[in-house]
Amino acid sequence: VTLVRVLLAASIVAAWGYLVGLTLAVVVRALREGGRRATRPDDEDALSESRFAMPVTVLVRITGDDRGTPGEPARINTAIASVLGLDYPAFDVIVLAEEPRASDWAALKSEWALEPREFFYRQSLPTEPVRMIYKSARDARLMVVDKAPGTPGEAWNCGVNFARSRFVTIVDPRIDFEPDALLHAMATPTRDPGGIVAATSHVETIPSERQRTGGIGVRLLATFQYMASLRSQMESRLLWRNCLGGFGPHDGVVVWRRDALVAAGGFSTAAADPDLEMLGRLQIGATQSDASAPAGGSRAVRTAEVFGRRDALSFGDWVRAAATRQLAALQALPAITSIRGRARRAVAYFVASEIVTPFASAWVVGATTVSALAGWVSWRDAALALLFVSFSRASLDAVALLLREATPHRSSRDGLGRLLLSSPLGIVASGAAACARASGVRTAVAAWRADRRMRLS
Amino acid sequence: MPRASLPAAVPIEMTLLDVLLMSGASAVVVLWAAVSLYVIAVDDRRTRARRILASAIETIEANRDGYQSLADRLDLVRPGLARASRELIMSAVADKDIGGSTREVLAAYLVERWGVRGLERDAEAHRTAREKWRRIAALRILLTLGHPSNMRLLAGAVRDNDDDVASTALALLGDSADPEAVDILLQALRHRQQPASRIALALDRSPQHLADRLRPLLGDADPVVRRWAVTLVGRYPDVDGIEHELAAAADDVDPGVRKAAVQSLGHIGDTVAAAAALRLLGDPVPFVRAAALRAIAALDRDDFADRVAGLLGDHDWWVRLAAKQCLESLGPDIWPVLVRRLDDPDRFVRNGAAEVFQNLGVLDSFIVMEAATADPADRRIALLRSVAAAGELRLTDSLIERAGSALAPRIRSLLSAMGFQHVGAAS
Repeated sequence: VTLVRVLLAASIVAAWGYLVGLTLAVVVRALREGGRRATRPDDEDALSESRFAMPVTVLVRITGDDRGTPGEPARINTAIASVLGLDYPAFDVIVLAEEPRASDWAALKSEWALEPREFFYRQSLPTEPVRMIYKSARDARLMVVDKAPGTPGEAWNCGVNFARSRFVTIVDPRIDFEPDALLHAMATPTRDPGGIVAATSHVETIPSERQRTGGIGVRLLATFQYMASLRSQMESRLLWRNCLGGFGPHDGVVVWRRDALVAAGGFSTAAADPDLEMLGRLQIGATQSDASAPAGGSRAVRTAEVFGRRDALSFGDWVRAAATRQLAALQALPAITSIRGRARRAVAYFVASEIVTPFASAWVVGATTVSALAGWVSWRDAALALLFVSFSRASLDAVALLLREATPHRSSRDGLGRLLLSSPLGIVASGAAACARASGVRTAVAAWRADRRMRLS
Repeated sequence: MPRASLPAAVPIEMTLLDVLLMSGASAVVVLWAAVSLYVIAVDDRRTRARRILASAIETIEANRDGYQSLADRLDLVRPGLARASRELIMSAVADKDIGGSTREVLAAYLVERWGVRGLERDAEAHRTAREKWRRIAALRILLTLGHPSNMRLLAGAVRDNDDDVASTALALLGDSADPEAVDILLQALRHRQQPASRIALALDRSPQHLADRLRPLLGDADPVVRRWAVTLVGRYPDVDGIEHELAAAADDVDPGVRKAAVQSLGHIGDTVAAAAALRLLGDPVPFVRAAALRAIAALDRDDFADRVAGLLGDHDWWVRLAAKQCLESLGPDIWPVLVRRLDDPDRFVRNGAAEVFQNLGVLDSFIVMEAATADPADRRIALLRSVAAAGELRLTDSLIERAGSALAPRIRSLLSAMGFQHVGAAS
């Protein structure tokens, strides 16, 4: 019992020390960066009009699950119009239609004057069968592929087969974005098109109008998702910016170099997060060829750009997303940890942010509570542990807001005060997220066991 | 359990934990409160600064007509800007969204109040993020002011390792009408101070006529320099002899240069260009062949259609795609060339020819015509059969769906009569 007590206390102290160090390091770095208004480099204006802009194919997947608002014109048409309205000199759009609702299909065909046209393409990656290919008589940049339903990774592979541009990006139709979103997302690959295989941007989670006027629980949950999104942007700005290698944020848009995707064999159809899995694989390929060489030869970059915004998730969807995220991180871990060379720093950041930090936070609270239950510490100590974790998180929220306020689409003054005051309550959401993450861990462990059993047999 | 009921000998590790948790929790609460107050203070300061600036801009713009001289306009804004920080004025002068005449007044105020020496210092180098921002702003301002050192400072910025600083410098040099700006950009290109594509982007924006500066680079020892020189010179179709120089570059040893040359020839060339493009259809490097096909499309040489159609069966997929696009762009008159390819032993060639047939609209016209006829002509039926066979299942399915509900049954029965049993596309 004494040994257990000593080990428990030592582990709590270690986790506490890690969290204190992390919080102070991030706060100091964010304060040094300051709330200075971020300015965009001038070459993005030049790019928007240049004949040297790298062509991009934008992939949009629609399925029968996409929820439109009843009584509104099909949401997908609005989304496609937004994509086609992007201010970028060279891009085309491929919509991957996987049995959308009949009304959406009809609206899509009539709105864009879709005409069936055979198109012989190279089947570089295996996919579900393609039933028909449509080209728009209204906008020559639009192609719609009617295909049998599959997983997201499989649908992206189908899009990659059809893509004719050097770069490919996947845009969720539920994201709202400004016309210059692609221009900003392409700024990094354009600077070094031969060296960059992927560049990630953020999708900011914001409370929808309905969530803003909803009950207190709904409002708080949406606020916490917004704050998590800001923390992720802060990480990109402070930590990932100078990394030779990168793994995208939880919610983001990735611009991929098409030839790298094909060479890597396409997206995984089984991974919980095909983007993360692919980022890991691409960077292993880059570093295994010459471990001593800088990873600059073919690197993934995590940028702090915000591609667009999307509504915060409902509680159920949010819990499911947290579990999937943890599962995806664990699935990708073996591949990611085999990355060598200078991209190792990116691996360290990934492991720290996706695995060590959530675990350390949960451990400080959980282990202190267990100690209190066993009578080894007082309940006051358990409460202090909770207070420590919630306010260290809230401090990070505050500096994330400082950095975010320096960029466009800032919060209103009232909103800022409310966000700062509510940030310590984020621990409640963190608790729910920890439970969801635990379920993700359980699924990953079960999959490993099944895999091991299969290999042994 | 209350602390009082714990055993008398409290383990040392738990005492330490107690202290750590107490101090840690107190520290993070204080930290959170301090950072939150700081965030609110920064926001407050930013709002006040914005208000000061908005008021100054409003004053300048409201009195634009009444006060002609710069000194008059400076007099107007001086009282309002007395509380403004140097960085606020710098950000306003560097802001491209603020009108030129307003920026001029604010720049004059900046120099009058803080002097130009500080701007020079800011533009020289940076270490922190804050200094980097100042450097970028100072570079923009000094260029606006036409400062004598601005080209030297921009040259230094182009060599900087920081992406943002270098990008800003390249963009500013690209927009400049100063001949020295082009010298710096060409120097950067030759010495690979930044990725060549970024420098070329800036050169391509230049308001200056660069043909005479670029021509000597067509023979540079570095293929990257030659490639970009060839690409950039394609902007100047009016320059005598440029087509011949580009045609010579189309025989360069470097495939990248050959590709760039044929692309430029496609934009500006004529007979010599067409001959070079035709020659490059047989280039050993696929991307050069694809570029040659696009050049032929740009030159609109439908007399080359047969040679182009031959590349429908190229071993490289991108060349095949370029051949299809090229044939489509040459227009419907080339259809007899396609007919010869419909029975080609190579499946890719047959597929490609059928696809081009479809996209030219020739297939739709034929089939509609034949479906409307009671007694279709044998020759046309044979042709349609060839196209349908070459295009395979989805081509006929899409043809039926495209025909619409009125014509679809007749086309379906026509295709059935020709031996195509699966014609089950949605009608």
